[in-house]
Amino acid sequence: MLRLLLVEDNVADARLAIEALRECTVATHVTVVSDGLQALAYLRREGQNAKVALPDLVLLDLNLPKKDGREVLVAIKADEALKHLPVIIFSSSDADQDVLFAYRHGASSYLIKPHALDSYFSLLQECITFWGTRVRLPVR
Amino acid sequence: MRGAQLIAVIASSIVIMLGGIVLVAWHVHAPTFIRVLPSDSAMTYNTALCFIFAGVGLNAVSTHRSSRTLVSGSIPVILGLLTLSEYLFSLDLGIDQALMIDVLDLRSAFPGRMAMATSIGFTLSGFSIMLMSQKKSRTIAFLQQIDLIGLAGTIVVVLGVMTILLFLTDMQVPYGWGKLGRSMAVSSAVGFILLGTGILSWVLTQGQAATMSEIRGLPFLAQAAGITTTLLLWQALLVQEHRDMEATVARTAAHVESEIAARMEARIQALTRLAARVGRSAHPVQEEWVADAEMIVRDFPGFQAISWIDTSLQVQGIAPLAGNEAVLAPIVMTEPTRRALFEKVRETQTLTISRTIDLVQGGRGFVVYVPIVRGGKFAGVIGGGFHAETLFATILHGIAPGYCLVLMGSDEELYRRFPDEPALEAEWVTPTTVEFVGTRWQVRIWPQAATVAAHHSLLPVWALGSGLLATTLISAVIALAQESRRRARVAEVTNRELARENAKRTEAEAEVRILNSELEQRVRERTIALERANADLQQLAYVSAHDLQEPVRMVSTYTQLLARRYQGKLEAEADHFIGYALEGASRIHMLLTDLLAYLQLDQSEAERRDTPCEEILENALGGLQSAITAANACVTHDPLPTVRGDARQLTLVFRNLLENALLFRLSAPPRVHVWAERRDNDWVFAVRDNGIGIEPQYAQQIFLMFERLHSQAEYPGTGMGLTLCQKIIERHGGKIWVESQVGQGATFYFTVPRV
Repeated sequence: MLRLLLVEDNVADARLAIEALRECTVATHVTVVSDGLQALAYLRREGQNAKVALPDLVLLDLNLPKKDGREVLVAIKADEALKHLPVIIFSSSDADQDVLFAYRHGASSYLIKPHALDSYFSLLQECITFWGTRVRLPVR
Repeated sequence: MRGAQLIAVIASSIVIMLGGIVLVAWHVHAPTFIRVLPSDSAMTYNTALCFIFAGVGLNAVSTHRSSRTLVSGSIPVILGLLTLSEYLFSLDLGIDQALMIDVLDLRSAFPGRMAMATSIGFTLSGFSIMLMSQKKSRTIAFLQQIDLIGLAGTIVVVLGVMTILLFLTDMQVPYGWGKLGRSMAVSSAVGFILLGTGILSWVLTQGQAATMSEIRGLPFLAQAAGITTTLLLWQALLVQEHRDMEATVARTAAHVESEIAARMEARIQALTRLAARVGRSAHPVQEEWVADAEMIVRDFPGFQAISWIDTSLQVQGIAPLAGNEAVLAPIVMTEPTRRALFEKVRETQTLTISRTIDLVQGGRGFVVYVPIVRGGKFAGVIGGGFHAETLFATILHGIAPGYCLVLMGSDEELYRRFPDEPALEAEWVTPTTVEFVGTRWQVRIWPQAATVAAHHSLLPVWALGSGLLATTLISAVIALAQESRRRARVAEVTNRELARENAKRTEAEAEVRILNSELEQRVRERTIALERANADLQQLAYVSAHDLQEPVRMVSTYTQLLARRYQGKLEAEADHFIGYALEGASRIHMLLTDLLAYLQLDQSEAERRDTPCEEILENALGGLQSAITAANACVTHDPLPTVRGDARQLTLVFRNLLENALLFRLSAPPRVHVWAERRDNDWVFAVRDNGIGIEPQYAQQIFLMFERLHSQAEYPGTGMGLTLCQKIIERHGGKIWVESQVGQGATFYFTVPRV
């Protein structure tokens, strides 16, 4: 069971992602937060998140309210306790500077959300399959 | 010049009144109003009439009612010209007394006719008034209409003034003008002065003369006044000369008269003394008497003979005897004249002179019988016989040389000297009377041509010449002074204007400079603002396009999700509806992608790097691999150069062109060839396909934004591809175009500058 943290402010996109993951062969447990602050609070187990376990993977959208995805990335990778977490950027932006920024600041990969539904599903599923079955993740 | 207008109106009104009074006076036969002074002439009816019309005309012009002016001005002109022609051509046109019989002026040879000067005055006045009614002014020769009017007005005034002056100095009308009798009446002269003044005032109102120097035609007026005055003075001098001559002739006549009287007295005294001597002596001795008589004859030339006739009519003695023997004949005294004379003397005992008789000695003469009184009783007669010719020749020898004389007795001519110049007689003859001893003789005396010529002086001619010369000089001086003043004024005005212009120009230049700098500043500001606005708009467009992508994606993906989950589970139509929605979303996505690609070009600076085009082509082909395989297309190329530019953008160009080549194909497999050649400073790239081709008339259109030549169903696309290529190529400083025919493929060319 792969534990995923999905940081996505668009409810529709979150729903779509969940839909896609449902059809995935790898079993996943998805937590959705809708902004950067919540994401960091969750990861740092602040407040009501005190008893939560760290996720295995973070799917991070870039354009978030309150705290921007880029800042979250930087914050995660700066945090000693969190910097081991693979962060996959899952964004609609194809701007070169965003891609470069992501990789510069430690993102594991950068995925661009496809427009076509099939492509969207297959991309997400392939990604999760890869990280869930092919890649050795650190022990929690 | 309101004052001048007022003067014209007043003058014209007075003239109308003047004419009116005289006209009425003629009708009611009141001579006092017609001829004010006895030595003056009377104003004729025609003159009064003309004054009324002229005054009305002038009045109308001054008060700007010019409709009447033409008519009222023409009457004086017509009457004046007709009268003038009567004078000049000795006609009688019957106009002089047409309206009124002249009973006042009996001196004139032409009753009722206005004086020559008056007719001239009316011709000029009427002509002026007619001209004044003309609205547009014409130029005759170099004189303007208004100059002519001023000239006429001046001459009219001068005519009037000079007539009055000549009247006051008691000079008769100059002979040249009025020899037929009439001179201009003083009232007419006054009328003309007023008329002329009115005309000149009107002239002044017409001009815009501010000062004397600006009055137009002043030299002409001065000349007209001067010439008229000179002419009149010249005439007056001639008259004066004439008068002088008349006086001289009169003096001469008086002299002749006294001479004749004195000489005759002397002779008759001699006879009387002789008679007295005879009367004193009781028995006069014949020899003594003859000696006395001979002495008298000797001392007093002119006696034909002295005779002593006794009471019985016997001639007792005669001296001189020689040549007078015939007198001794008793028959002499039987001659009736002598006999009557003798008896008269006997009766009255006073000396008596006979009338002209034939002398027995021959010739014409007369006798004087002096009675001899002895003791209070008549005792005979001493008779003195005079041969008229000899007597007067002797008496008048050396008297009044240069003059012709005619001496008339009571009924007959006694003597005449130089009788052959009758013309001068008519002009100069001065009759005078010689009285002596109760006898009256008439003497008519006039000068010879030589005498007149000697009296004649050149003064009038000199006066005329110098007057004309002076007038001309004065007019010239006035003209020059006016001209120089005018020039000075013009120069001054021009200078002032020039200075003003300069000041204006400097001001304007300064203003322009300020405006220019302001303008530049404003342009700079505007440019900055525009650039900023432009950048903002571009940013806006870019951000909008960018931000639109996400919602479009949501629509698209969820519609697809719907399709996937509910396909077949809804009505058949629902599938169609979902299909159309998906199509729409898909197109929006494509448009936004292309738009973003286009807008992105402005978002960042293009790179300038050496870019090998072969690599770029390979990159582009790489992205189209699946499409190439699916279409079974074959893409070939010649060696491509390295150019300076943005690799990514150039890749897009190639990609778009190749995409088009693959898409717009015929049924045959697409064959695409890419090559480049050098031309001047550019590299010309070409992409040739064997597709459907493009109509030449659309060759420009296809590069426009969103322009498509086919529907989405025929060939899908956004219409942005070529626009993007054009923008990229133009940013690189090149050009892009297409050469194609329908059905024969298309070749797209674009240039990139070398280095």
